[in-house]
This record gives sequence, C-alpha cells and structure tokens, in this order.
Amino acid sequence: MIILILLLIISSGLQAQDYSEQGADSCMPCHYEGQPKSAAAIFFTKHASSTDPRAPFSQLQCETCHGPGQDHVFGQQRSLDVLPVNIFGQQSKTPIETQNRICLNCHETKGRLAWFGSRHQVENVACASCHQVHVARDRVFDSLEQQKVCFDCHPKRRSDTLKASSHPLRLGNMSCSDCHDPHNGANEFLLQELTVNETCYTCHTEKQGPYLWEHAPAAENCSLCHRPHGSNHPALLKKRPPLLCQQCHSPEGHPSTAYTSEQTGNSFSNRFMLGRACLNCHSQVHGSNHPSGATLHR
Amino acid sequence: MATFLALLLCTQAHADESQVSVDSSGWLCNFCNYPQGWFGILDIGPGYANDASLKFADYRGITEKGVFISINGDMHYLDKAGRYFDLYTRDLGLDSRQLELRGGLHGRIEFRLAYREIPKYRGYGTQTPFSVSGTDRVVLPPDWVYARTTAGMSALEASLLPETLEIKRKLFEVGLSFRMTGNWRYEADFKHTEKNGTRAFGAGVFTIQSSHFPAPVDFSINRVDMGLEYTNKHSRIRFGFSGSSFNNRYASVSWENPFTPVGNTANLRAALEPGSDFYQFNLTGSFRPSAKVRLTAQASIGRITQDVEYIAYSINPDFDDLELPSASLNGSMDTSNLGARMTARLSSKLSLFLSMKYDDRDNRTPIDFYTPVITDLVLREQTPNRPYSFKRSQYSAQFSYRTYTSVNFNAGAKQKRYKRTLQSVRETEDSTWWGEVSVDSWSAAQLRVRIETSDRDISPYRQVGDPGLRENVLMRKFHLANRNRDRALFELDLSLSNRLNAALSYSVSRDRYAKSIIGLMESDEHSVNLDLGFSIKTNLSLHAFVTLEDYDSEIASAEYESAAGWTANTKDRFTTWGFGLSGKLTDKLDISIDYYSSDSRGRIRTDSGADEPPFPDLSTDLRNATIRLNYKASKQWGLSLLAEHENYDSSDWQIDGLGNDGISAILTLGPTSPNYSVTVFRLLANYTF
Repeated sequence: MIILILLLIISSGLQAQDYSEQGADSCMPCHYEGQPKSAAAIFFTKHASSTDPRAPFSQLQCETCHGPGQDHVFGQQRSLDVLPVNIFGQQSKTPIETQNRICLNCHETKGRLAWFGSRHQVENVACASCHQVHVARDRVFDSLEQQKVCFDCHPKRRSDTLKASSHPLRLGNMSCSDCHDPHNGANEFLLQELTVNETCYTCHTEKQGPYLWEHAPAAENCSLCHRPHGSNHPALLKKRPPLLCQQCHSPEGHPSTAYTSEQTGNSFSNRFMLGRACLNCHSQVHGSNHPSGATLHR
Repeated sequence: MATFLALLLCTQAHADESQVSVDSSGWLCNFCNYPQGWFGILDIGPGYANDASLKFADYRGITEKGVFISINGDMHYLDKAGRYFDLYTRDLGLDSRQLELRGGLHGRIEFRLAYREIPKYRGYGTQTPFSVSGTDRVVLPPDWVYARTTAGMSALEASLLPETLEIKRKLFEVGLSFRMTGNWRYEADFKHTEKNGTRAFGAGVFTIQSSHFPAPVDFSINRVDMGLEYTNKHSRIRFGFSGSSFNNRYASVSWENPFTPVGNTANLRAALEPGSDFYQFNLTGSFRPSAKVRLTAQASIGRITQDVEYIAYSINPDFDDLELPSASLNGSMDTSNLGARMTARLSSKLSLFLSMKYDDRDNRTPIDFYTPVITDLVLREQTPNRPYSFKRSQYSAQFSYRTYTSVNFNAGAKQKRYKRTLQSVRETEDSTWWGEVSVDSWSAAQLRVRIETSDRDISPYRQVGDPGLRENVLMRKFHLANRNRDRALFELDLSLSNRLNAALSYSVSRDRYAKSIIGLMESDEHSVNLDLGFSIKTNLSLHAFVTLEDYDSEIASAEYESAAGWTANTKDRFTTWGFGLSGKLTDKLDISIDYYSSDSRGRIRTDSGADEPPFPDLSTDLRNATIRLNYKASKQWGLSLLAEHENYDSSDWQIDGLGNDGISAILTLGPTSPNYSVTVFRLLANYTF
C-alpha cells in the first residue's frame, strides 16, 4: 500500500505542468516578429491553420508541440530561465526521441513510415536538425538551401558537387532529395527508390532496359562504374577508360594492352586511349537492343 | 496486488499524456498575426554576362554574352477558411526556369503543379562535318572526300560546323493529395519528362575506323505515383503504385561512314535505347506493438517490359538475307523486394535494431540464338543473349548503449549475399562488423569514432561465355572478387565559444583484393574536412571550410596469359575550400558573400616494366565568387545587386589538342577541355506585396 501511495504521488507529479492561461496569446507577446526567437512566421504555415483539425493551432496552439507552458510564461515574467517543456533541436535537452515523436504523431506518412530503423533515426538525428517550423518556408524545400542543410553533416558531398563531373546541385537544378529520402529506411542509402538502379532510372529511364545484350554490372548497380556524387572523370565515372574497363576485361588483344603515356602519339595505340577510349567504338556500354550488338558496338 | 494496481495507474497516467483535456475556449489568439489575402515578393531586372561559355551555361541557362532578363519571385494566398495558394518561381527569363505551384484547403486537399527546364551542353569546342536535323539519319556533306585515315580527309576543315550538343530536359509535374474521412489519405502524382537535342555518339568498323557524330535525342517519359495511406494510433499502412513509360522516337541512328569503306560499310547503323514500361506495387506498414518496440515492413513487386521491334542485323546489304529469331525481344524482368525492421528499446540505456532486406531481379527475357554482324562487317557464330538475374539478401543487427555519462557505444554486424545467374561467380557474401564510440558533452563538444571491417567471400570463379573474347583466366572482376574492406571515421564538433564553432572529420577506406592477380588490386580513399562558423554579431556570421580528398587505386593486367603483367595506378586529388559572410549589415541592408575554390588533379601511370612516366595531369580548377546585396528602401520596395564571377580552367590529355583528326582512325567531334572566365551582374527591383 505504501508503494501504491508513493507511485500515486509520483504519478500526479508527472502531470504537475500546467498549460498557459491564454495559449498563443501568452507566447506571442515575446516571440513576435523581429525577436531573436521569433515564431511569428508560423502564421504563414500549415502548422498555424485553424481550419485543419490536425494542425497544432487547431489544438493547443504552441503548446501542442512545446507542451504545457505555464511555468515558462511565469518564469519569463519573473526573469527566470524556465524553458518550455519541449524544445526542439539537436542540442536541446528534450530527448530527441520525444521531439521526433511529437513530429511523427502527424507526419508519419509516405517515406516517414520507414523512419524507425532508418540511418538517421538510429543516429538519433532530430527532425529539427534539418527542419525549421517557425519560418514561412522550411529551407529544405528550396533546392539550393536544402543542400546546405545536408552538407552540415555530410561535408564531403559539398566537395563532390564542385567536381569536374557532378549532378547539377550547386546551381539548384537538383536537390539531394531528388535521389534520397532522408526519412526512408526501407531503401538502401536512404534512396527515394528501392535500389540504386531504380533511383537512377527515374531520370535516366532510357538506361533501364531490359536490353537484348546486357552489360552485367550496368544492370546490377550503376555505382559499380559511376560515382553518383561527383568525379574527376566524365560522366561521373570512377576512373578513366580504358582503365575503368580494363579492371574487368582482359582478353588478348587491345583490351589487355598496357596503354602508357609514351603511346599517345602512336597512331595504332592512341585510338584505344584518346578521345573516348574504349567508348570510341563500344558506345553502348549500358546495353544494346541491336541484334548485332553483342559486343556493345551497336 | 498493490504493486499491480500501482503499475496500472502509472500506465494509465502515461497513456493519458496524449489525451490531455485543456479548456482552451478562452484562447483567442489575438496576437496571432495571420496574413490574409494575397502577398509575396517579385524580383525583376536586367542581368548582364560579360562573356559566353557553354560550360558556364551548363544547367545555368545563360548561354550568350550580353543582357538577359532575370525574374524570380513567389506569391501566396491565405484566407480564414484555410484556402491557400503558393507560387514559387526561379530564373523565368533563362533556359533553366523553374516554376512550382500548390494550393488547396488546409488539411483536406492539395493540388500541385511544377514546370522545370534543365539545359545541358556538352559541346565545348566541338565541330563536325556531320549534320542531323530531326531524323535518325546523320549525313556528310555532298563533297566529302573519303580516306583511309583522318589525315586524308581533305574536305574536313572546310566542312566543319559548330555543334553545341545541347540536350534540354523539360519536366511537367502535377499532383493531388486529399485526406478522406476517417484516417485515410490519398495522393497521386504524374510527371511528364521530355528530353530533346543531340548527343555525341561514336561507333565504327572494328578497331579500324570509327567516327563520332551528333545523334538525335528525343525521349519522353510518363510516370505515375499513387499512394493510399491508413493511419491509426498503433499502426500505419501505405499501399502504393508506380508506373512509367519510356518512349524513344528513334529506334536507331544510321550514319555515313566518313572513311574509305572496308567492305560494304559505306553506311552504318546502331540501335538506340528501346522504349520500355515499368510498374511496381508496394505495401509499407509500421506497427507499434508497445511503446518500446516498433516494427516496419515493406514489400513490393514490379515488372519492366521491353518489346520494341528489332532493326535488321545490319544495314550492310550483304547481310540482308539473315533472319532474326524473333521480331522483338519480348523482354520482361520481374522485380520483388521485401524488407523488415525492428527497433526495440530494451532498457533506458540499451536499444536493438534488426533489419532484413531482400531484392530479386528476375530477368525472364527469353534466350535465343542470334547471328550478330559485328560492326556491320563480320558475321559471327551464333550467340545466345544473356539475361542476367540476381537475388540479394541483407541482414543486419545493431546494439546501441547510452551511458549516463554522455558516452554512447554502438556496434553492429551486417551480412549481404548475392546470387547471380550467367556470371563468373554464382554467389558472393559480404560480412561486415563495426563499432562506434561517441561522446556528447551537450553543446560543448561531440566526438565520434567508428571503425568497420568487412570481408567478401565468393563461390568458385569460372569462365563464362561472355559475348566477345575469352577473359584471362586470372581475371577477377572486382565486384565478384574476394575483398577485404576496412573503414574508419573520426568526427569532432566543438563549440569553442558562444560565437565560434568548428567541425573536423577524417575518413579512410581501404579495399584490398589480395586473391586477385588480374583486375582491381586495391583502392583507397581518404578525406579530411574542417568547417568553421563564427558569429560576428546577431544576424551576421562568417563561415569557412576546407576539404581534402584522395582516391587511389591500382589495377593489374597482362597482355596474354603467359605474359609479364603490367600495372596502372590512378590517383585523384581534390582540394576544396571556401568562405562566406551572410547576414544584416544594417536594418535595411542584407549581405551575402560566398567564395569557393575546387581543384582536382588526376594522375594516371601505366607501368609495363619500362619505367614509363605518368600521363599528364588531368586538372580542373573552379573558382566562384558571389556577392549579393539587398537594400530595403521601404516596406514595399527594395533593390538587389548580384555579382557572380566564375573562373574555370581544365586540361585533359585525352582530348586536348587533338582537333577532329588527331586520332588517325577516329574522326572525332574535336572537343576541348572547357576554360572560361565569366562575370554576371544582376540588378533587381524587389516589390513586396
């Protein structure tokens, strides 16, 4: 019975936090436009909708997400550093699991259905590490701004976008999320599609085949030959032909010849190493549907 | 009994957390400053480019020197009934224009519309005597002089015309989502893509002669994605469908052979990418059996089909009587995927993650015997096509242990197994183990160290009848070879003061193919990165970064099986750095300055035992400086000045200095490495409404 009484006391203590007396009207006098912690731009967003019953402002307004705020309001009025129950961000003392659960209560849809077990969830990344709620437009929805968010944790990818051959991210024609769904753990590398090749085919559909004459590695995984984020070699290749091809092809004759720097002027050898090298003739490296295309010449 | 009752009460208290009852009838939201009606911002004004370069224009759309019009802006509508409309536009005056529109009723329905154009240019310095105009036939000028080598093509220089090799991608997207009564949500998106222009294409007659020419590109792709979702407190489920149809206007391209024909090869022909159809059904579910366990699963099945009518074995009339085994491929490939994951919090400190994934590419394309005419000249023995299939299964487990002292331990293992058909190795199995320690001292510092090692074992390597010549028996293709891979990662994030923070990372990856004699032998990657951020004052900050990367790899080969081997080493080095300033200088003046520099060096050395020097360095140096000043003259009007300078220097020994006839056996398009220095100014009036 003693245990029961103690637990009842603790249990009632868990509910001690009170909601504010005036809802958002308790918050906005401090968090108005121009303040360092302004939340005024939320009224430009769906979160502030008063007509969508699922929106935070159709429920308990700011406190739907931030939790009971009475202590915070009173604390601020007395110049005490009492924070809201839930503060969002990677460095917040609110557990990230708690933060993310609040977001996922409404947003566990589409790729986010597979959030649990995804790399970002396992790595304990907070939704608010990438997303901004108190702005008119979350910057991850702008292709130029989104990549800056990703580069914060993936700086090597920033370097990739500046390489001689890269997808057009740096000019905003593409964004990371064209290929990756950062929430979707169901797909490898958090890709938008189930596999690497299916993701590539969404833009490079012409490569999907099936061809009469397939090139086995191309059919299996584009990234066996290509570095999708950026490369020093044309077409995002991992290395230059003929070496790229010679690491898998070695029949006697021109495929296994050592092409050295001293042969660039040799009128026979240079056809295999200059220009497009192997692709000077074997241009159908992704596969061919020509009845005579067995050697990927046609 | 008492304990049971207490636990029940606690559980009830926990359950009630999300069911709070608060009297919010007095919450009037008087301070909620909702925008009403139309509002937005429009940026419009002239721009000027001081030079033209197709490489600079790549994706950017500024193709010409001189004046252009820059139009950007967004427009919105919102009302008390929850109706909304958003329009975002970028670079409407350029060939890289983008427009995105969405609207609807909050929480009920949304429609989406988007249009994008993406220009791509590959023709840096390219010229050609060939011409193509809206057909699948590429022709030479009537007065062309045929020769056995490019040196003898006396009409070449006079017949060269510039060829920009431009491909423009146009994307049109439309979508709809709506929330039905109850917990159901439906959405559908349709995307139409057109890709038009010309690309470089190369083919010839064996190794004797080849030519590069502009080939037509006229693709269209239609894709549909639909999803129906059901959500309740403990489970969520989504049924999805994706389908796409790829159409190529041209089944083939034929061209005149610019060389003195060998045999009856005055005209040559190649097949282009065949049209194909794809569809996929998928089901994803998420279930929470208890507060500490989450299960997610996903399953999908799909099919890709391709049945474009074959062209003849050859355009060479000598082979007109060769009969095909069928009129088309009747290609069909079934895909199936299955995935499941469990995340469980075993205690307040210990978490467990388990996952499995299975992918199957079942190529059901019929196998037939074909009699290829190689390069329109030589009849080859009957050869079967090889529709490759593979199955891949992956299993992984991870433990995560969080201590009270902000030290976290993670460890895991993963097994990936491939089963392939018709290839040199039937089965490969990668086993990976990893461990990680991270220390998080709240906002002051975060440290993470991770190490990983993996081994790949393979079933016996065997020679298969690849189309083409027999491989060296010692060849081990790298993705089918035994491999040891070691990786390490070090990351340190520091908040050095309230205003200064730094992030340092280092990663290394080493692949070793110790059992290979011919093929890829080793591959190393190193990367170091330092990011710095400094807050000068509120709303004004500085940032800087530097990244160094090295990629090294070595392959070994031999000209024939009893010959002494040769090796080739490839080294790619990247140095990227930059800095920027952004924020408010005054209440009316915003500033943004960005500078970045990226240098790439590629060194290749092939060593056949004669101590040959390396090839000349492949180099690319990119410098970009951008300044943007925004001046807010009034609540409605403002002015923006943008200046961007970009300098690009590159050299590539594979193409530089060759011109069109630098390779005697190949008539090329004569590409050169792009070099440019372009400055662009934009002066934009901003109108806010």
